[in-house]
Amino acid sequence: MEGNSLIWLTLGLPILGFLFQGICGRFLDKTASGKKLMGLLAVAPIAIAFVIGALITKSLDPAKAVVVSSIPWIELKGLSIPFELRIDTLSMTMVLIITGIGALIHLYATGYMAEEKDYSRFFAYLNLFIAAMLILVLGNNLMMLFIGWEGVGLCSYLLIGFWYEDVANAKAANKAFIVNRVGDWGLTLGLLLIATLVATSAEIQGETRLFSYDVVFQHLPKILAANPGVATAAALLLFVGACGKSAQFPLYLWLPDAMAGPTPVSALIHAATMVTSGVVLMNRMSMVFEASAVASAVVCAVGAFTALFAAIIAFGQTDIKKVLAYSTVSQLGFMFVACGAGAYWVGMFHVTTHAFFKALLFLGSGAVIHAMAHEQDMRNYGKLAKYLPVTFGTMMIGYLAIAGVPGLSGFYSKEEVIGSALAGNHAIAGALEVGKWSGWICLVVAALTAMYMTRMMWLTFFGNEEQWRKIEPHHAAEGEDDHGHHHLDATHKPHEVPFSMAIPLVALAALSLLGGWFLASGGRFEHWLMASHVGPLTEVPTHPEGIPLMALSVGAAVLGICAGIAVYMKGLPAKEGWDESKWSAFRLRARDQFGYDSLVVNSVTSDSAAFSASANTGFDHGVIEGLGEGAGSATSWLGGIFNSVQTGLVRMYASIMLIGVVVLVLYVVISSGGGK
Amino acid sequence: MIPTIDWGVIGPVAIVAVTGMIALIVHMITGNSEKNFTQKVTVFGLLIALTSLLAAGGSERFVLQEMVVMDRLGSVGQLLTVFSALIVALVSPAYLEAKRIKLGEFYPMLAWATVGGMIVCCTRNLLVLFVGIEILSISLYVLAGLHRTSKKSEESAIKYFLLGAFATGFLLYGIAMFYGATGSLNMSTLVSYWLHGAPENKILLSLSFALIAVGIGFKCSLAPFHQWTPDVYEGAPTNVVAFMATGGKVGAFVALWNFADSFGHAGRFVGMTIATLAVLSMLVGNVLAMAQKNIKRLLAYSSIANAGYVAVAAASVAIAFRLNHIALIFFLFGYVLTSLGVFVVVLAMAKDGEEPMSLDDLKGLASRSPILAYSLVVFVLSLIGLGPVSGFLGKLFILKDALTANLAWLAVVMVLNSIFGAFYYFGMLRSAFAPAEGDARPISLSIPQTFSLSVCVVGVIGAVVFYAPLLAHLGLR
Repeated sequence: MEGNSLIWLTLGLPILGFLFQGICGRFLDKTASGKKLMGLLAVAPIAIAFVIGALITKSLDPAKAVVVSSIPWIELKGLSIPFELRIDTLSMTMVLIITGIGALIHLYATGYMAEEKDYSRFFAYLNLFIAAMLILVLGNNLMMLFIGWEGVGLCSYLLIGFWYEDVANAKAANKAFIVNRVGDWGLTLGLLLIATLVATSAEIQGETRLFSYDVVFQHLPKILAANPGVATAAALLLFVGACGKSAQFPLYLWLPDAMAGPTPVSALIHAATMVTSGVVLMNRMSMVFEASAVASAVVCAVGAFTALFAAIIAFGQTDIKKVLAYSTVSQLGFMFVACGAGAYWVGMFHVTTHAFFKALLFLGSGAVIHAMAHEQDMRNYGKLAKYLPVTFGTMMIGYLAIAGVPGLSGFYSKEEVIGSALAGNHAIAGALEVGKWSGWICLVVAALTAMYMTRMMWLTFFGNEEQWRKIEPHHAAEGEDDHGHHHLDATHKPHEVPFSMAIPLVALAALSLLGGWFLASGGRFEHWLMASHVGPLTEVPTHPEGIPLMALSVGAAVLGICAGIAVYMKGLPAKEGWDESKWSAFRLRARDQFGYDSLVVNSVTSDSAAFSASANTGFDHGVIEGLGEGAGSATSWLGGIFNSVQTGLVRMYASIMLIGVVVLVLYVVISSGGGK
Repeated sequence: MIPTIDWGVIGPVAIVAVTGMIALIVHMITGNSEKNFTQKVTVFGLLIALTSLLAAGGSERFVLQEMVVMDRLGSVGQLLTVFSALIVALVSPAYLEAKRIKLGEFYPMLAWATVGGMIVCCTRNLLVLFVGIEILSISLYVLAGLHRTSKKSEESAIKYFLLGAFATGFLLYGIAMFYGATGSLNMSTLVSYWLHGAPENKILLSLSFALIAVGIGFKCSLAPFHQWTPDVYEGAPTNVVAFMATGGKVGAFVALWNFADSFGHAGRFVGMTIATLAVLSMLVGNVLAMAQKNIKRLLAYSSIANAGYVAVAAASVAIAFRLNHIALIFFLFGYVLTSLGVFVVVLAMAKDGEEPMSLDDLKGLASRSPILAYSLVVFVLSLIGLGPVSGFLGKLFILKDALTANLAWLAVVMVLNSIFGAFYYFGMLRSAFAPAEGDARPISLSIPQTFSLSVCVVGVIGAVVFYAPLLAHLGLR
C-alpha cells in the first residue's frame, strides 16, 4: 500500500514545523515580516497534513483497518513494541478534525497573536501539540496511545502557562498538569491490565506484539467475556483516565482554569481536540466497555451528572471564556453518555460536530476579546453586533448549532445522544436503568444549554447599552498591562477582526451549518465509522420507538432559547450585574462551582504539606510512627472534607436527611422489585 | 375484655414511670434543697427496677395481646437502659453543681426517658415502638435544653427537636404503610406478607421498610441520618449526653435488630440496605472523629461509628435467618459500660462552672487523678476493641455473625474501621498522659463517682473474665 505510507508525512510535517519553529524561530520573529514568515511556516505543515489526510481518507476502504508499520522501538525477549500507525475510520476521523480545524486555528492564531513577542514559541508548542495528538489517535498500540496522551498533556501544560510570568496562568497550568496525573494513573493501570490479560492468555503463543491493537482486539473479547469482574475493573480504570483528560466530574476542575491560556489554545486543545481524547479512548477500547454494563452505567451516570453540573455552573459565570469552558465540560458529558449507552459512534459524531461549533464559538469569543482590548467580562459588553458583523454572524451560527436548532450540526448529534441513551440498551446496573435516566437528564441539560448560550449571546451582542461606556477613564498610574495591550475604557471603539482571523470563522461557521446535516443524512457517518469496528456491539437505536424524540429535542432547544431571550432581551439584568450582593444565593454558589473547586484545592494544598512534613519526621523517628502519622493525617484530611457539610444549620441537616431518605426509598423499591 | 396483666414483664417499666412521678412531686415539695431528695428518690426507684429486672426471668413470651414481648435481648436491653440511668443519676449531682445548673427536673425527665427506652426494648409492635420512641425522644429534647442559660444547650435542644420531629414523620408514615399492606402492626406478620402477599403490597412493604428504617436509623444516629448527633452532644449538658449515648441508644439498637430479624427468610435486600447504612456510618463516624478536637463531638462520632457496628449485626441477622442475639447482647454490654465510663471520667473533671471541652483539656489527667487516667486506659482499650476487655468480645461476635451471613466484605470494612478508630481513641490517652497545662490541681472523687467508675471498670474487664458463666446465666449456652 504505497498511498498509505504517506501517513508518515501527516505525522512528520507537524514535527518538522515544531523543530523549525523551536530552533530557528527566535532569530526570525523579531520583525513584522519575520513573523509573517513564521506564521506561514506554522500553518503550512498542518494544512498540507490535512490535505494528505483527506487523500488517504478518500482512498480508504472503510471496512478494513490498515496497519502501517513499522519502526522497531522497544524490543525485549517476548515483547516487541514497534512504532506503527493504524489507519481506520476512527483514526482518520480524528486526523481530519485535528489537522483541519488545527490548520484553521493556526491561521487564526497568526492574527490573534500578532502582537505577541514570543510568537514562534507559541507556534512551536502548537505544532508539537498537533504531532502528539496525531500519535495518540494514529498509534497502533497501547504504548503509542500513552505517549500521545502524555504528549498532549505536556503541550496543554505548556500552552496554558504560555504567559508564565503571570502567576495565575502558571498556577492554572500546574493545576491542569496535576489533576491530569490522577487520570493518568487510571489510564496507566488500565492499559497495563489489558496488556497483562492479553499476555497471560493461553492463545497468545508466539506473538510478541502484545500491546498492538490488532493482537489485543483479536484476543480481548474472549478474555473479558470469561472474566466479567476484570472487565469492569479495566473499563473503570480506563474511564478514570478518560475523566481526567476529558474533564469529567470529579476531575473536571482543571479545564475552566485552563482558559487562562491564549484563546486559540482554548479553541484547539481545550474544546475541539485534546479534551475529546477520552471519547476516542472509549471508542478505541469499546470492547472493554461492551463487556461491562456496570462500568458503562458508571460512565453514563458520571457523564450525565457532569453535563448537568457544568451547565448550572455556566449560569454563574461572567467571563465569556468561562461560560464556553463550562459548556465544553457539559458537552463532553453528552459524549460520555452516548459512549456509556453503547452508541460509541454517536459519541464520535458529537465530538465532530462539537469540534466545529465549539471551535467556532471560542474563536468568535477570541474575536470579541480582541476587539474589546482583552476584556473578558461580559458585563462590559453589549450591543457589539453593529461593530463586529462578521464575528456576530458566524457566532450566531455556532450558537444556534450548540443550542440544538434543527438543521444545524449540533441538533443532529445531540438528538442522537439523547435518543441512544433513552433506548436504554446497554448502561444498566442491576435493575437501575442508568442509560435512560441519563437520557432524560441530557434532555434537561439541552434546554439549559440553549438558555445559558442565549444569555452569553445577548449580553455580548444585544441589549440596550454599550456597557463599557460606563467605565471610568483609565489612569496611567495603574501600571503596565500584562501583555502590553491598552485598557478598555469609555472611549474604546471595537474593531472587527483582520482577514486572517475572519477566514477560519467563516469556514467553521459553514461546517457548523452544514456538517451535521451532511454527516447525518442517510446514516453516512455511522456506516462509515462503524464499518471497521472490531468486537461485540450491542444494538442501540438512536431513535427508540415510542418516544417523540424530535419533538422533545426541538422543544428543549426552543424552550431554552425563549427563556433566555425573555430574561436577557434587555441586556444585563441588575441582579446579575457588577453588584454581586444583588445576585441570588444560588447563582453565587454556581459561580463558585458550589465550593467544589476550592474544597479540593484547599484541602489538597494545605494538608499535603502537613502530610509530607509528617512523613519527613516519620523517617527520622522510625518508619512505623511515620506510617501512623501519615495515615492519620490523610484521614483527617478526608474528615475535613466531610466536615464541610457539618455546617450546624438545621435546614442543611434536614435536606441531607431528605436526600438520604429519597435514595434509600429508591434503592429499596428498586432492589425489592428485583424479586428477592 | 380486659387482658390479664403479666406484671413480671411490665412491672419494671411501671416502677420507673412511677419513680419519675414521685420524684417530680418530691421536687415540688422540697425544691432545690441541699439534701437533694429528688435525686435520692430517683436512684432508689431505679435500684428497685434494676433488682426486679434481675429477678424476672422465664421463657420468651408475648403478653398484653402481643404488644409486649419478653425475650432475652429485650430484658438485657432494659437492664442496660436502667443501669445507665442509674449511673447518670449517681454522678449528676456533682456535675450539675459544678456547672451550676440548679434544676431538679432533671431526675424525673431522666426516669421518663428511661421508660421510653425500656418500652422500645421489649416490643415488636410498631405502634408501641412508636410510643416508646416518642416518650424517649421528648424527654431527651427537654433534657438537652436543661442548661437554660447556655445558648448552645438551647440550640441543641431545638435542633434535636426539629430534626427528631422530621424523622418521626417518616417513621409514622412507614408504620401507616405497613398497616396498609398487612392490616397488622406486628412486625412478626411481615414475613408471610412479604413472601406470599400480592405484588402491590410488596411495594408498599418495601416503602414502609425504608421509612421505618429512616425513623429508627435517626434514633441510632446511622448515617446519613446522623448529623444531629455531634451538634446535640456538643451543646447539651454532659450528664444528659452520657445518658443519650448509652441508655438512649440501647433501645434504638434493639429495635433496629428486632426489625431486621423480623424479615426472616426474606431479608436479603433488607440486609444489604442496612449493610450500606452500616458502611456509611462506620466511615462517617470514624473518619470525622479523627478530625475532632472537642471531646464531646469526638464521642458523638464514635457513637455514630458504634451504631454502624450494630447495623452490621442487624444486617447479618436479616440475611442469616435466626442468628443468635448473643453478639448484640455482648456488644451492647461492652458499649454501654465503656461509654458510661468515659463520660464518668469527663463528668468528674468538671469544676467551677467549667468542664473539659477540647482534647487539650485532658492534659495532665494522669498526674491530677491517676484513678481516672487508668480507668480511661481500660475504656479506650475497650472502645478500640483490643483484648482483654469487653469491647473486644462484642466486636468479635459481630464479625463472626457477619461471616456466617456471608458478608465477608462487610467484616473487612468493619475491621478496617476499628483500626481507624485506634487513631483518635489513642489521641485521648495521649492527652491524658501529657503534662498538665493550666489547672494542675488534683481531682477528688466523691463516693458515687468512685462507685460508678469502679462498676464500669469491673464490668468492662469482668465481661471477658467471666464470659462463660455470663453466657450460662443469660441462657445462651
